[in-house]
Amino acid sequence: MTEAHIRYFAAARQALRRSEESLSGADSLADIVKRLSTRDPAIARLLSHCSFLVDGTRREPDHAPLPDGAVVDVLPPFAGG
Amino acid sequence: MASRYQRHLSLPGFTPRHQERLDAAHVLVVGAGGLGAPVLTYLAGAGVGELTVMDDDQIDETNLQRQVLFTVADIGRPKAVVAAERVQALNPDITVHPLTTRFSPTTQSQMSDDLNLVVDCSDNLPTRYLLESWALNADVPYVWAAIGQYAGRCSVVLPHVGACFECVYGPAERVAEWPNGAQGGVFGPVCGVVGALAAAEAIKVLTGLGQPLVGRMAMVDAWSGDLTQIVIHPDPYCRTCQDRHLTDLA
Repeated sequence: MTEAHIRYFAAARQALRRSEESLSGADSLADIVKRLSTRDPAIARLLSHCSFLVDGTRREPDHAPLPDGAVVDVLPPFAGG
Repeated sequence: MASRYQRHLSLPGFTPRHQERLDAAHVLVVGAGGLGAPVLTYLAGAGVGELTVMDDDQIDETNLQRQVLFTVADIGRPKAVVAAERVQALNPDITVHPLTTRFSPTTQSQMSDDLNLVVDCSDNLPTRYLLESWALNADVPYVWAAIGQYAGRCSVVLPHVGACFECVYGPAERVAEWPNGAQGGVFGPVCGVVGALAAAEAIKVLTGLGQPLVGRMAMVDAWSGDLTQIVIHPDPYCRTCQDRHLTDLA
């Protein structure tokens, strides 16, 4: 069973009420987003805007398998100056 | 080189040659708001010989909570002009050019071709994508900083090294800010923290001192007090990077 380590940043920390967590049985990024989105509609809305890095490289939330132990960074985009 | 820079020259590794590099440099700072204030202040103080300040906005009362170059008496005046006045007064030995236009496909063709570095302190995604693509295509190092609510981020992109802004956020037409900048609010001191960081990175790239924040993104979360950095790799599908002949440093 694969496990992913998820790190939340900025507004994602407020929405998820944590800075990180591990999810087991996380087969793909799409699977992770789907599972997190069921927790709260506000989380689903937030995640639909977020950028996701898997081990440092941006990935669309697709069904490609994640490497076991993948680190997923959840980054809400902001551009304020 | 005047005694003004004595505290630079006392630093380990910082020689008159490094100060001369700053003096010979021309830096474009896009955005004279919350981030632009510390960036411009520190670059002028450090003796960057030529600064171009670009902003098409005027100062209003809601800016004063975080845009620390401005005072009540400046309300209604152009940000680029006032910011240029303030940093020129800080360092009369440098040259400061205000530009009261927006960075756009029209104005980018009018930019000086002797720029050594761009610092992106703008306040919207379209300007960031345009500015980054233009800078990297012109072989100009690009330092970006961005803020949203209690958080801020900063990274450095060299013309042929390191993941860029688009590598992190994806294609421009698919990205939307979360939450929207003006609606979401900004915690003022985050501008100072991240802006000072961007100024430090700019000075490092110009002088060649230290280890620039290339292939890494520094993140500040003032709510929790967390200062973190993550590794960022180039996105193989990034359009900005298609012609960059990239080396992935991270």
